[in-house]
Amino acid sequence: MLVESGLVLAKEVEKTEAWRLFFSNGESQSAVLTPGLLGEILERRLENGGLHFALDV
Amino acid sequence: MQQKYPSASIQSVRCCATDIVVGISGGSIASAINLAEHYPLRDLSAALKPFGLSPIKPRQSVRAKDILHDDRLGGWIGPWLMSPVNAATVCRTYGLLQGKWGDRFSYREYMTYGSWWKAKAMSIALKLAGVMLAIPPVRWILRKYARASGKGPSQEEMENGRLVMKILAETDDEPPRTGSITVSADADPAYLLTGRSHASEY
Repeated sequence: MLVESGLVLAKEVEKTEAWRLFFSNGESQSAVLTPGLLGEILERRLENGGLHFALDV
Repeated sequence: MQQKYPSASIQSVRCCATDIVVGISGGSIASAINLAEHYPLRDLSAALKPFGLSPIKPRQSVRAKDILHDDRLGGWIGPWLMSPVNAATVCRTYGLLQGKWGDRFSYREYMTYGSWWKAKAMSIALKLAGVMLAIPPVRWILRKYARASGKGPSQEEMENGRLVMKILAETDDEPPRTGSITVSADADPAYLLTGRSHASEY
């Protein structure tokens, strides 16, 4: 998941919750992120790799 | 769950590996050795508490039991190798999102063992392993005989890997409402699926 998270951050970070929370104001700052903040973009990448998610609410 | 039940808070999340076959790479072993070598056991232990990396803690969180019986997760469940790291990561997400899952949130990660004795034995073994890594001769032996950095599970091992993880979340209602996510893979999720995920975009 570290690799997938890195790819999301490198290529699609602007579509993530992490971007909205920490970087969207244009100021330079560092933040220790977690995969949970990458949301559906990371989920889609994991599904492309063969991980399946089944939700039951 | 909060989309379906907007007034509810999430009280307890249990994530359990009910079926897992996964290899370990030399890089992961080296990471564990390096952590133990460069950071005091007390600091590592503090960081690996559930909310040890979170900027905030829930006001009323109750620490979930180490070992318990849950028929929905296959019977007796207990900690596994990744429990502390993954729980600290999820709880940091909770903190970065300003506690949006509620004031009673707790998260714990487990594996299904089939009996209380097996779960207890693994719980003790994991605690011992953490302490042993702090002993320099143990790290020396591991460096010499364990899988080296750059080495990993074979192609056959990875193709025979699998994963089923069930995540159960309960609200703080009485009786609690429950939702679940089942995560599954039919190959090694750590390495082979990572490679496939990487390759799938090209």
